Amino acid sequence: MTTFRPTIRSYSWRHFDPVILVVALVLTGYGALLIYSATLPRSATGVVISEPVIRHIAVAGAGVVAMLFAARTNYRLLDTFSWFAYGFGIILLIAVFFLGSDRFSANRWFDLGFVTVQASEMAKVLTIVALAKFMSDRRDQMHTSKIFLQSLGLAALPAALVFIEPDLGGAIMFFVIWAVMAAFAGARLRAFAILATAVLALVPFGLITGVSEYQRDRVRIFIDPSRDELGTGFNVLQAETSVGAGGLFGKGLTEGTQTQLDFLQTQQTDFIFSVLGEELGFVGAMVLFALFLLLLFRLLRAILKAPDTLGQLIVAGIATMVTVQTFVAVGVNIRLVPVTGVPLPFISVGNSALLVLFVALGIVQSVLLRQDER
Amino acid sequence: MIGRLRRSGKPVNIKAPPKGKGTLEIKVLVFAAGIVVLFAALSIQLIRLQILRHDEFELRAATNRLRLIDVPAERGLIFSRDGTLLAENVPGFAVTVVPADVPEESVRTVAETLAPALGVQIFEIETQILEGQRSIDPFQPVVLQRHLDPDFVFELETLQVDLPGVRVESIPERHYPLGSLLSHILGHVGPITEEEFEQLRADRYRLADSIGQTGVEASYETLLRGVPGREQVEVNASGRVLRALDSEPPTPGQSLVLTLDLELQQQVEEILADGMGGSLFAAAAVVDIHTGEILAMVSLPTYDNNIFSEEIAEEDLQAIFEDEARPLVNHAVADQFPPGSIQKVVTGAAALEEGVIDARQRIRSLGAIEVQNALDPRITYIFRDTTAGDFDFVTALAESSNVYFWYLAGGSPFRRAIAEELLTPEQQAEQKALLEAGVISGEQDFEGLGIDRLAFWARAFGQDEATGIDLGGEATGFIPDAQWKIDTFGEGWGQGDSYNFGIGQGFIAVTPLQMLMVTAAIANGGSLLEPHVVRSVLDSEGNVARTIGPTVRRRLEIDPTNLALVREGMAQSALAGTSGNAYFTEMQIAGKTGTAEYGAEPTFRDLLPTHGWFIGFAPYTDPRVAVVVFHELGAGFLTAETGGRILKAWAELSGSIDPANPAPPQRATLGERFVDIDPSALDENGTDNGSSETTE
Repeated sequence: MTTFRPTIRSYSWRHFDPVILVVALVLTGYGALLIYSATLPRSATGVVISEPVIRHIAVAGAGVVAMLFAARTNYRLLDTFSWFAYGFGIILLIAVFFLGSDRFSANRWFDLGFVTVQASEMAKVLTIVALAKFMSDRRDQMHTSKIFLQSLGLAALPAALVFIEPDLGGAIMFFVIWAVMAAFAGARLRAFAILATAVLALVPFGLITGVSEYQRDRVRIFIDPSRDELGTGFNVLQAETSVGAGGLFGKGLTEGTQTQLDFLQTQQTDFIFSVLGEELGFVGAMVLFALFLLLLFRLLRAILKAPDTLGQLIVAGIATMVTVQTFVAVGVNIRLVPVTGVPLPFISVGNSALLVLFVALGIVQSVLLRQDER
Repeated sequence: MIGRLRRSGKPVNIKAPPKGKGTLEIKVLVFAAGIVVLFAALSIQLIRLQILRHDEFELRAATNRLRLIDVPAERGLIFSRDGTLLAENVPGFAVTVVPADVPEESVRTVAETLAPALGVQIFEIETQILEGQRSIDPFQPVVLQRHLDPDFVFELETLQVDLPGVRVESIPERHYPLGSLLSHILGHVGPITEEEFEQLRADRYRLADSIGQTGVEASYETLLRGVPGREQVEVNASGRVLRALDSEPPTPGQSLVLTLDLELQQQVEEILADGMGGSLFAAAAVVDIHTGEILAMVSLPTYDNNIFSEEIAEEDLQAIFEDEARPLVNHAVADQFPPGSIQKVVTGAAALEEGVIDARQRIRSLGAIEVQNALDPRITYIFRDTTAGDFDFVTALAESSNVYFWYLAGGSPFRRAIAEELLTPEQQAEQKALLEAGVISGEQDFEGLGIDRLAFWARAFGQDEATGIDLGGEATGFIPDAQWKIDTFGEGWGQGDSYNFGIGQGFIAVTPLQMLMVTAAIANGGSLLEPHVVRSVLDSEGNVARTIGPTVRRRLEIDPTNLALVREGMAQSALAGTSGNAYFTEMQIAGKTGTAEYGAEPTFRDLLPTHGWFIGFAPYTDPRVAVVVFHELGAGFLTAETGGRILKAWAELSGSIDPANPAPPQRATLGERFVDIDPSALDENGTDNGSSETTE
């Protein structure tokens, strides 16, 4: 069991990974550029920096400070506070239901949608911390079905809350993060296999894939009543068109007709990749992927450097979160993943989500700084 | 340290890392491979879209003619209690333009062609199009003109063929067959404003839509509006719809049935208008005391809510907005005034409940009292009354003795002054002698409610909160307290302030609707109800989808006997007290008048102008409805006549007159009497059924 020993100052800034910081900043800058284009008024002549762009940059500035602060703070403190963190995450997710309950308020869904996304971003990191604590305390028992299922339950509670928000994609993400962390903590492959079989058997998965379109729609609406087939279909079509029209080099920033004529909806958030695809093309997308790969590999390196299991698991959880989120957020735009509202890390508009990412990377740095400790 | 972490082997204890270096590295490698696979999948899909099928998508983007258009649902109708249609949809036409569909070089042409036909300036149309193009949603149709003449529509159709983006749209308009009779209840719809649109875009409102602005139209907007449908359409280069690819039909809005009794509403309007005298404005309302259903609600002067659905001359609209009587305001709900003596029902109930006074205890009024200034004892204020004598609770309420309620509210005065004009010379001499001899002691140490309890009970009766009626713009009333006075004026709450409060003067302000619900609570035995004007909601097939109310806001914690005493005081008020003008022979009623001073400047001699108030309920023996009447300029005893006529109209229309049970005859004076109510005569609702015998 790791304990926080404040008397021994054995961390070193020598181990700070500047690559993580720089890549995060470059990605945020890339995002600001795309938001700039997405929010450019149609009639604008010259450069018009919109408020979301300024906020995005400002939050990145605050993010750097937050990252350094988190790096300096011993991540083992999280061990002590993990249950508090977990409880706070759950309260956040529950609180979302009670905001904007006014019967006749027309803005309810709009506000609620916004708050929901932000709360679940934060809850994800808090859940990672709690899972890391739980699993590292019981790492020699992760192969037992009892502890394996208990850790699953820990992830299932926030996932269930996110699911009824309703956000199916967000809920699934909790399980993916759990699975990767459990694997790192020593869960057996066999356990996953049995679990997967059980899920397949229990959920009428066959029904969803194997029957008529009409019935499938009914099930889909049952699972996720907020689904808006007509609107969603339209958006996906437009997103695909945007990306495809971009070609190899794109039409140039602010030159994309899809983006600038507002055929794309929610282009600053869920469909921001389409803006990139249309205006900066395949090359622009490859630059983005390269940046993400660089960041993710630095996170993997941090797993190897971690001085203890707690650190390993936290970093693994954060790396999984960034990976899955990026994959889904891009995949939605190119018809690889069904539509769920997932923001693209560092790129999409969303202030607290962005700040949470910087803090998460700060925790990774904290683990790195203490790699010489036991 | 690292060395130990990397050492392979079985875990020795819980502190030792469980895995060797090899296992961890393999896991990280697998993780890395997974990441690469995911990004490879994304890249392959991108190659397919952006390189292999680029031409296809390029073409699709270049000729992007797909639009997602919202189709508004038909707005729900509104009916009266008996099924009369009160709000309907009539066909209407409007010229709209989709700014995004007007190419830059055509803006001028479009404006020049349309301007003379619509009778507006060219630059106005130009500005609208250009602003629309710059807005957050340039595909949002902008209305250039509403309320088009059907003949003119045909003319335009031929004209606009070659105008890009311009359309003649059928946009239904709202019509209210009964016009001004129900304007304050129904309210009206109006075009959505730019600010509203930006807020409501997420709810799929269109800039061309109308939205409920006031009244039921506003408070039930969500139900009335329904859910818009949607069409995915293909348009041509000038924005004309070529074909619909996919569609989702709108869900029509739900219809409403009001609680209002049309005939009663009509009669209340006539009676109120008849008794208005010199009032700028007046209001009256009738409520079912068991359900909270508003049976009639009139605010005068009224206006015709159809003016918002038609072209109206600018100066006519200006006249309505500038009218001193504020015809657009529902004075029964959205306006607040000092209640005057009708507040005595609240003060009285509170004093009985707090045990400040026994109902039989009499207080001698010499027609005035003197109050000492708290800071400078040399200054005294004289509070004058209009009546004098010995009063118990019921007679004090019936005669509306200020002195009695001053005692209840603020306790013994500095001195019981003598209002000479109210006493005979002999009485004056007697009282003077008594005073000089110091014989006024009896109640010298009488302790009143004081501001804390006065404010507590006024709030308990809901005088400091919205009643929750399903109409917008409700005023909440105002109940002052000691802290408020210090915060506002920097001085403490004085005895004189409590005196004013106790009789509904000074800082207190209430809405007529609040007083109506106070009256209903007294009449129904202590349930403070939420009033409502909508009775039920109908689905699109006309079946009742939802019934509204009754909603009890709270139960007042007042002994039924005490409420019965208040009711009896009100009944005596109509028989032989200040509410005598409300009396009619067919049914015994109960009432209370109020004459509330307002304003700062005397308008007549040294007198301040006064509001006239009346609250009442009927029948006295088995209450069913409560009424409130307010005259902006008037006096309670005159307003009582209007109140009585309204209760009589209700009694006749509802067929609740029982010939075998008429009102007792009116008397000239209350005479000597003591109140003696046997609690066992009260039924479980606290209704005082047997008291008419006991009082005679």
